[in-house]
Amino acid sequence: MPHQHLIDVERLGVDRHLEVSATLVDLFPERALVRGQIIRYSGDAARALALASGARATTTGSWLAVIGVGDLGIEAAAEFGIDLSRLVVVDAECGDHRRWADLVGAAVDGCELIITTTPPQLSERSLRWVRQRVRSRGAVVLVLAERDQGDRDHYGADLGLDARTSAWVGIERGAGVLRARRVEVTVIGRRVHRSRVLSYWLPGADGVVRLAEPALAMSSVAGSGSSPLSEISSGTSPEMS
Amino acid sequence: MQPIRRLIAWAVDPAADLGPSLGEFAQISPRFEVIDRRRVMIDINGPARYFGGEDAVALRVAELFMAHGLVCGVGVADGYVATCAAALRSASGAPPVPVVVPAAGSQRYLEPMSVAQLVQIADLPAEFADLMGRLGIHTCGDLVRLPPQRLTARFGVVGEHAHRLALGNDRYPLVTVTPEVEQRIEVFFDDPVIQVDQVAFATKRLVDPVIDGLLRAGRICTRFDATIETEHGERVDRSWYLDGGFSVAAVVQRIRWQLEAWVDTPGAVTAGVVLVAITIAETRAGSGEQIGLWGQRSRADDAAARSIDRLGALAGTDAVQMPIWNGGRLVDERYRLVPASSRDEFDAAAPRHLRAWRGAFGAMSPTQVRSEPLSIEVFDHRGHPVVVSGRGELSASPATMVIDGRALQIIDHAGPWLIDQRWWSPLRRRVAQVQVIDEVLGAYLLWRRDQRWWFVGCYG
Repeated sequence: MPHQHLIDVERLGVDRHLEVSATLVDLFPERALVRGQIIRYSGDAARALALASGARATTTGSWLAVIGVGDLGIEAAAEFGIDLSRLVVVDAECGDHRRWADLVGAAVDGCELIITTTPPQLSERSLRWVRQRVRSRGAVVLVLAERDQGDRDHYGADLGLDARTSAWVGIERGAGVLRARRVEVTVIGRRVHRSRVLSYWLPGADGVVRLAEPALAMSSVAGSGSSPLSEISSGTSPEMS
Repeated sequence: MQPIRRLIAWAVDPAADLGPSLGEFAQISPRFEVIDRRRVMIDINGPARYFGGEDAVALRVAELFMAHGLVCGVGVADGYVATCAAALRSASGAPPVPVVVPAAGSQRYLEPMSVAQLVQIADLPAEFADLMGRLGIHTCGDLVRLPPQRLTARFGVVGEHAHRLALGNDRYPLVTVTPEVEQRIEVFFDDPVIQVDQVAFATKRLVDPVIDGLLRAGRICTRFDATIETEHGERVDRSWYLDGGFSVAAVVQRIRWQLEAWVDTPGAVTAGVVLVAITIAETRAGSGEQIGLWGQRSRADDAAARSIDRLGALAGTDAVQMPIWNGGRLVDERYRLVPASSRDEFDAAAPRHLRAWRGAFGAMSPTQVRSEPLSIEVFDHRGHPVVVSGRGELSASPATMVIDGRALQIIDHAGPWLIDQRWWSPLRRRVAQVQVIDEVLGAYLLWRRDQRWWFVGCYG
């Protein structure tokens, strides 16, 4: 096969991108999800950011398969903009890497977007096979690495997004209700020369995801671990050092 | 042949549900067909004689629904598409005024209508409208001037249908046949059932072989009557119509609607369901069209359906799930995952209370919701267990919670909010909800229920 590396979808003349919402385009080098790519989401807000990243594609006709991700909050998915009529949830143990590879392989046949977690022991062979399937079908896989703090293993991801909560808005000393969350997102990738940090409301108090003003004072709960924004954005992220 | 005059009432609000008011609607026409939640159709000939004309019936129908707070467009015409079009035009008026197309006037009425709208009303493939547009065929008038043979040759059964519909005829010649032996199938529940899901599941098993048998005989079911009865003898009868023919999933969906609308009618249901009976009332020869699980949508949907089949083969069909809106106020019940194989396209399309709920509570929803809440412990800063009083007040601010033997410091909290759920049923739950934030800015949703604390979800 002389053109084995060529993405099928290019031959079919399908757009090589899946759109992301306008507020999130700055996170992606091509300002959209690129078909055939694997994107890794880490940090405590990984799930929220992955859902927000996939929302636009589902509203423009793509199906989303969520595989082996326990306890997905369906309502939260809807609030982040996922079109629930194109959401499939596969509730299966994915501890075995071959099983995981089979499921992802079957899902990319008909779903252009996958959210999944990788099994603990992922063999190079399974990964390569999945990678090839994803590429040939032109799907985009968002891998959640919620518990991983470090970035020791990329799982061969094309792009990494590390999303960490820096503030909650809405509750204060027993009153109020959680309304908004501020998240600092670090972009890590081969084609991203310097790691970039962007601040988002995920979501804002009106329920909409938006870019946060870096200089905005944080008036709500700030944990002991969170550092002032100026510090984060000027230094390199812990993962990249 | 005398054309069949129909009336369609079409609710203006996309989230409307005519279901609960249909009991009263039966007084105008005892026999009516529910097309979907927003649309109901009758043969107007009988009522028109009784009430003194079609206009009188149309007005009466509009007023009846209006009395239930449902603003409806009402259209009267020959044929399904023209009647839908008339109802739509009526619905676009402010306030809606019934639109009555004179007998034999449907073709002229449809002439200026766009092909795109025809495609939408008749549920034809969207690509057809695009293709027609590119060929310069924009209106139904343009369409009917094309020779039907050429349309059929070029577009197959879709072209034939489109031409027939644009002429004001029904999609299928009205030679629907009542099956020689009327097929009535029923399922009894020894233990009264209170969950819609269980009824839906039983219905699926009930109708699966029947619809399948029809298909193998080259026929499809276009109309069925369904009866549901409770242990207390309350019953609801509905007649359902779908001109493209019912798939199993579509039948199950109609039963869901029927049951949900009934349960939503105040005072109608006081006990669990003991009987579901379905009578296949009308069938016709299948035209070779596939009745897809999702009723033929885009190519992406078809591909997804295939992929779902394959996933089901790998992981088990029950493990491949899709969300449906379930109602309720608690986070673990507003949406529920059901096997993709038993779900129909309209299920998830009705999260109509979602925004209202967020408006009322104003909170974000947890991205992670445990399928089974986990029992945990919550203490105040002196190490005493925190409790919630009958009036819904915390005994002290929570300072620590112990989840799976792991202690987490709580730096802030909100709540509790008391929710009394399903007070009418044995599944009644009273829950106090609390949100807490731990020292590494993890946010959690907790419940106080049955004198215990539960970890329900978190905001990851």
